Amino acid sequence: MGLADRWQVRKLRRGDPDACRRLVADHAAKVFAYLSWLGADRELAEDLTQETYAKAWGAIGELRQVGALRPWLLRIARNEYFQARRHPRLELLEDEAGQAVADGAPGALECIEESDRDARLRRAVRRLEPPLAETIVLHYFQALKLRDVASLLGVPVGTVKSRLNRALADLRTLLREEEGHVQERSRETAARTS
Amino acid sequence: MFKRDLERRLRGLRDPLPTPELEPRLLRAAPRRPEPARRSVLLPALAVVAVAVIVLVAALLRPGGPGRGVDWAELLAPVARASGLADAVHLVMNVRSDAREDFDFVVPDGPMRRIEGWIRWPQGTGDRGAMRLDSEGRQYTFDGTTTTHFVRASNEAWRATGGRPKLELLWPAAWVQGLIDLPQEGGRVVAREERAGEGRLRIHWDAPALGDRAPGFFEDYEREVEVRWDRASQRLIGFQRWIWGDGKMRLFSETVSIEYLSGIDPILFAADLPANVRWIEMVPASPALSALAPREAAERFWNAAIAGDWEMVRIFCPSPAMVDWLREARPAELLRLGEPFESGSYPGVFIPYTVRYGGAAGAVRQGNLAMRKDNAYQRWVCDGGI
Repeated sequence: MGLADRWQVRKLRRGDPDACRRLVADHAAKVFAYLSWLGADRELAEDLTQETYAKAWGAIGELRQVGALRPWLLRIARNEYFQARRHPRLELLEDEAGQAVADGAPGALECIEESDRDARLRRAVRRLEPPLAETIVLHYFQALKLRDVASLLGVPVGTVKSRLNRALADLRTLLREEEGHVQERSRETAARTS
Repeated sequence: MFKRDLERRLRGLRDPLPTPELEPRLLRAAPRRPEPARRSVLLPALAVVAVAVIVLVAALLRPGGPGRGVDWAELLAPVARASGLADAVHLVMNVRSDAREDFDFVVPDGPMRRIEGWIRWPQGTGDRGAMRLDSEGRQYTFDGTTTTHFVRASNEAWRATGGRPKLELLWPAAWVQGLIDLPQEGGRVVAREERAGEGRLRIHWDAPALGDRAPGFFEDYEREVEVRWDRASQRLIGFQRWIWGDGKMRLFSETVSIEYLSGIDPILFAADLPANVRWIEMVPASPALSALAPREAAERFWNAAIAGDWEMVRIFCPSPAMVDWLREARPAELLRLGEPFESGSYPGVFIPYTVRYGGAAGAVRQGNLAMRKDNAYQRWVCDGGI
């Protein structure tokens, strides 16, 4: 754990309100993004982020044993997500009137405005095999170190490295496919308009 | 495409953003402790250094001053010994718990409830002692052979012969011995004094890691225990337990009086039951059901309740009142069943669950199903926690 994290952990264990605010400000958006990548729609991702922090506040006493704060929060979020998927909880899926929230609500990932090039890359990541995609998400998007990714996924560091290599190779292939489609579509459009 | 270029593009992808309302939602549940007033930086720093020096010097000059260095086992050993030198004890306590719970279960927002106990400690081989515990919600008696547990609210009682309840729960010497037996690394002495004929020691423990389980018993919390003893007799005269909650230490239990007796009338240990009491009885069933692990038994129990198979429910839930309650509440779906865990002094296990009650739009409740198998059929049965 870095010095900054260690200092913050000390303050969190004392219930320091500034440290609590910082834990939210520094990591909540990343927790939300991770849950969105795992497949939660916006509402579920926010609910699960809330659950994650509720667990985190309750477990501040055990902070002494954790490594860095981000992986610790992501581990809780991951458990929450898979738990919610195994046993969809009513409070997460129903609105106040007890009506089921429509499935297929736009996910947070679909709401990002970005260039076509980035959108293609994002689509390609989502087409990867799930363990490869998650490794990419944790290492590149969440900026976790390899050993933290390994610990969070419960696999050896060597496995993380090989997953990353495979994921990057697969991504290159998928991007070539995507860009091939784009070029083909451009040629078709040009042919129609000429 | 080069690997480095691809990696740069991946790192540059934008994250989806939550709505602005999320942050206040997360902070709402954050632990609240008083925010220290902001003053100049230098003065508090100097004050801290000065106080640290004073505390250090005081600790060095006064043998056994408060701090991690105090060996509370050594300090409390004579108290445990002297407090155990009695045939029986009569004690009155206040405990912040549920009316049907006893010594260890914490209801942080509940009122302090009075309990009164009489314990005769076993004397020699073959003697199993005796006890009686009276509280607003229940009566618990053990006459040396038979244990009778009467729940006033549901007018139910169960009776078991053989074995004995944990007399240690209400035996002051055992409380002190329990502290002595705890590893010293886990706690720290935060107060110690001996004056005016009285000794006082206060020990603090941080909250243990509970994973996704909510705290229930005293030891699940950040907590403190205060022991007071009479310096002349070395006997325990006060025992207080505190938990951290809502930004302050809250009293969880306290002794109102401890009376050390040299003899006690056995009539005290006979149960007083109303004539119309309902008996909690085990229902005979296939021996295969006794072979189930606690989690399997809990699953059978919930599935039977959801299906409305009340005969099967009775097999796993001997309390008629609990079965009646389930019939009214109508469990509709078992959403989660966790792994069994042991806690407090409960002689069984707890199994975390999430259940939806009362149809499609019903309330979702989480809890820990209490299950025990100390019955004639050696079957795991539900004992509470619904």
